[in-house]
Amino acid sequence: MTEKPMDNKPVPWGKKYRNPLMSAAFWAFWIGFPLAYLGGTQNNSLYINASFVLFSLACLVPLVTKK
Amino acid sequence: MDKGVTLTFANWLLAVLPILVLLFTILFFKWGAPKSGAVSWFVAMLLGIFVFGGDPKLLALANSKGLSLSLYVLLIIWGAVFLYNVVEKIGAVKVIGDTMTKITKDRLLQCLLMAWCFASFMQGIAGFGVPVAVVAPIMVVMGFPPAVAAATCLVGHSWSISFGSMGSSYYTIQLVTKIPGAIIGPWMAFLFIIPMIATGFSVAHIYGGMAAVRRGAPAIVVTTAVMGSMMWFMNFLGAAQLATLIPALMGCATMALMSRTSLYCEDKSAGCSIEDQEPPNAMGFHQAFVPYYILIALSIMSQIKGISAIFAPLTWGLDFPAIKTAFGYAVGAEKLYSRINILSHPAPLLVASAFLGYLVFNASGRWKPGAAVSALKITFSQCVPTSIGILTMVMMALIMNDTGMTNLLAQGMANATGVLFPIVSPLIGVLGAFLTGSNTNSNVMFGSLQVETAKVLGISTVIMAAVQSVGGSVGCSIAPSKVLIGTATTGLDGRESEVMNRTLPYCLLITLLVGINAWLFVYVLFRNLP
Repeated sequence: MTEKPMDNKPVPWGKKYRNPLMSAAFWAFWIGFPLAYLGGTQNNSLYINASFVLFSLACLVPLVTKK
Repeated sequence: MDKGVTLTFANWLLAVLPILVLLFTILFFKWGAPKSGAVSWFVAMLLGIFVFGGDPKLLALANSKGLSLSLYVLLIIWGAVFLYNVVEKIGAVKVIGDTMTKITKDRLLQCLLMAWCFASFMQGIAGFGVPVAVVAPIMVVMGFPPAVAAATCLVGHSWSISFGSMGSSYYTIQLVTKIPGAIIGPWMAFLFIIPMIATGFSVAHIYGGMAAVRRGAPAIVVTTAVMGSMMWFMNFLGAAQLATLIPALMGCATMALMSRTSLYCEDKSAGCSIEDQEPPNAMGFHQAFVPYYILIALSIMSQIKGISAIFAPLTWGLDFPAIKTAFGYAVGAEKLYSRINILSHPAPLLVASAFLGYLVFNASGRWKPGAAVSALKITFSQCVPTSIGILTMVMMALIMNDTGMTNLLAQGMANATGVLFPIVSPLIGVLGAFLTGSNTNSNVMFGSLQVETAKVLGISTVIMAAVQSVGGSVGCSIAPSKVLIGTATTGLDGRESEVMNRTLPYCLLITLLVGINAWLFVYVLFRNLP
């Protein structure tokens, strides 16, 4: 009996964790939404900056992960 | 309104940079919509702050406007995909497809029925590549060459995309241009008559050249008359979310009737349709179609004034203050921006149809346990990447809007094209659809640009907004992402260029016809339209 050769190539982390990271990015937009709105309407820089951080992180996910 | 950064070539180039980045990354790096959208959002944010004078408050408000708008569109997309997945899980989509394949023995009518009408019906209920993914392989099984199946499906359903997926592209163009649906909808239906008839003739031409065009002409003309008038009528009724589903269904019925005329069935004694023995307990077409019957009934009910008045207070939307950039570009305050009403928004109707459909299938013993959970899981995995693509692009578009980039772009476009703009306009819609594979995304990217350019030129904004959506719809026939679906499902992997070469001439010809139509509308026939 011959054994099938094992494919030992490690799966890149960007591919391995793409689905959970994309889901996290999706929710990050919606968490950032009220922060951006309240920050913009109340001129609250803490909320505004927090929303920018969330949006930036969410936008980084599709850039660093692979299909 | 207005003022902002002065129009110079350098400033115009900077204003177009987010769109150029989007174009470049999709075309040359072959990135998907989420990745390209994300990088374009970063570019728009940086330009908004450092070049166009947007402060953090303005950008936060622009982003939250983008998210409000995305919420409206994504609820429709998620609802339509969920309903489709539920129906697919219990085997009803297969029953609907099988019914269509047996309607006629005539090969040309089979091709027209499947690629032009049935694929459009699938666009009406689902969209997002489903029409090509479902119909093209069925056509291959029916004996059509794979390249013909893929190309006819791609071109054939390209008239139906704007009002398809429960009208997601139609709602988007309304939201980005702020033109009410009651005004833009009937004009879109009017402008869609040319793509509708042209796609019918294109399908016939792809199938069998000029001989098929001549032989198919009576069926195509009659079916276009039925589908075109139904599309306009659904808009007139205020049920634009059904303005693809109902016309396409009526188109299938018209094709079935035409197949029984002496034009397409010479020997009636031998039968005009394909007879097939069905098992005694098989699900019938009408039973399979129950969730969509419910959806149609609910959509029509939602337009009854007494009922809509009861639900009118159940409306959600955010108020936005007026804002101004450091260069004086001002955007007015918004009340109930991108408002979502529980009855007029398609998503609650889609969910209600799925639930009532479940009750009917459960009562008749056809429900499969776990179908809803499975459909929900598939919907989530299908829709998350699409949603991120839409979110990033809509946010980018709103940043461009509120910082005056779109306005500057429009001024430059108006100066460059002048009176020829209506002819170029649908090509812009095609470009957006080609890049993003989506009529909705094309409308987000270029909707306000088209309207702003129309304002600068002093021509009808309603018609130019409608033309944008029509162009976006037609452009989906050459979008690489859609072509890939066609080749993957028909066993033509790696032969995308063969399919694209078949669809491209038809797409360009239809776009030119739409442009000439638009030019005649704005400069000759309806010069006084706002």
